[in-house]
Amino acid sequence: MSTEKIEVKEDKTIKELVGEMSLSSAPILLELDGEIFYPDENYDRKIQAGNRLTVIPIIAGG
Amino acid sequence: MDRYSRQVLVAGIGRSGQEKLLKSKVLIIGCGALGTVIANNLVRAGVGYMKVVDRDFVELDNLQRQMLFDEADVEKRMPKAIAAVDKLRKINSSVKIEAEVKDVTQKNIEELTKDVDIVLDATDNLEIRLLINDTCFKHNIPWIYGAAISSYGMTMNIIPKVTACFRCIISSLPAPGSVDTCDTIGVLNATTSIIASLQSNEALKMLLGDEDLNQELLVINLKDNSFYKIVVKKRDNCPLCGDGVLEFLDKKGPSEPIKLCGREMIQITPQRKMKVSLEHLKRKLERVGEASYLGYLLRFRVEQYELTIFPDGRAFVKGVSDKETARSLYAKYIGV
Repeated sequence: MSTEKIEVKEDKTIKELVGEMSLSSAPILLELDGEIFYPDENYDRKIQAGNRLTVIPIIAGG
Repeated sequence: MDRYSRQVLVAGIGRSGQEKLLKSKVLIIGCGALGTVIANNLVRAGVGYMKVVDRDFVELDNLQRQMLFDEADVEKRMPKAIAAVDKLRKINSSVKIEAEVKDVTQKNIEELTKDVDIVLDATDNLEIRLLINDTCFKHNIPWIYGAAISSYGMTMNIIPKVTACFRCIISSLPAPGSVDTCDTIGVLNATTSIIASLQSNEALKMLLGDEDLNQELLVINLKDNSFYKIVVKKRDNCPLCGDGVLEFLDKKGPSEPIKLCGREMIQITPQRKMKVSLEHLKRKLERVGEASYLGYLLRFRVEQYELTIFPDGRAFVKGVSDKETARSLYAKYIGV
């Protein structure tokens, strides 16, 4: 469990990306070029091939 | 004041700061790996009043990271809140400390948070954090989120109407089974100790009125020793920050566990309908117990308990007679 950096291989929407990673129902934040955003507010946003996206899982343990 | 002499020397505290701490009131929800470290730090630092709430009993596998407990507490099956408070009173008898052995729900949380200056989150699931978030927003109480799993941890100060709230970060509860827990992928005691220490330090700063509070989500990973801060914005359409909707505080108890008549079995129903991937959950659970997926349900056996989980997130917890233990097992192994 940790943050995960992924390199986008081809142009995709955020919705497509989180769906492919089976993260649609997981609590996560995303970071691209220093900008943090909520995936569900940005489902239609296009991420271009070659971009590096960081997935930040929000956790519950304690 | 001699007891606190080294702390009083720290720039920005002094005698007047220590006097503020001695008049402060804190609530710690959860007394496990995070809660024991937070309670230990704050009692030694000299807060005036502390209330510790927890629903669980001390077990052997807690001792690796839950710093106020020992083998005698395991043998006596002591409630965590009581065992912790017994130790804390020996550490600093001048602090007024109360233990509450209970499950924190929408029915009792407003009473528990009454008159406290801050709330420290040391819980183990997202649902209760959303409840804390609603309650603290309603009563304008700052609270400090903290969580740890494996070598990864995070904390954030949540100041109602000022910072983003927890509902901004988690807009709705994820499906049961979609979040890893300490009981499915483990946790290092260094991770919980560091996160809890960061939380207690931020608590002291809040109580002292320090303006240099952390305003970001602080994330650590001890695998590569990385510490970084993430600026979390308020969500545009946050139901709580935007419209003041107290969905988790005002909900009408559909997730209240039900004891099934004549059997040592309790039914847990999630707050809302959701679809659980039982195959995914089976892969996680078979690392810590015996899990079998039967197409329409998942059966999981661990220790003396058996959990039967359905695709809508509902579960029967067998081998328990009290609702608190059933909820605790659900949070530990299924996770919400």
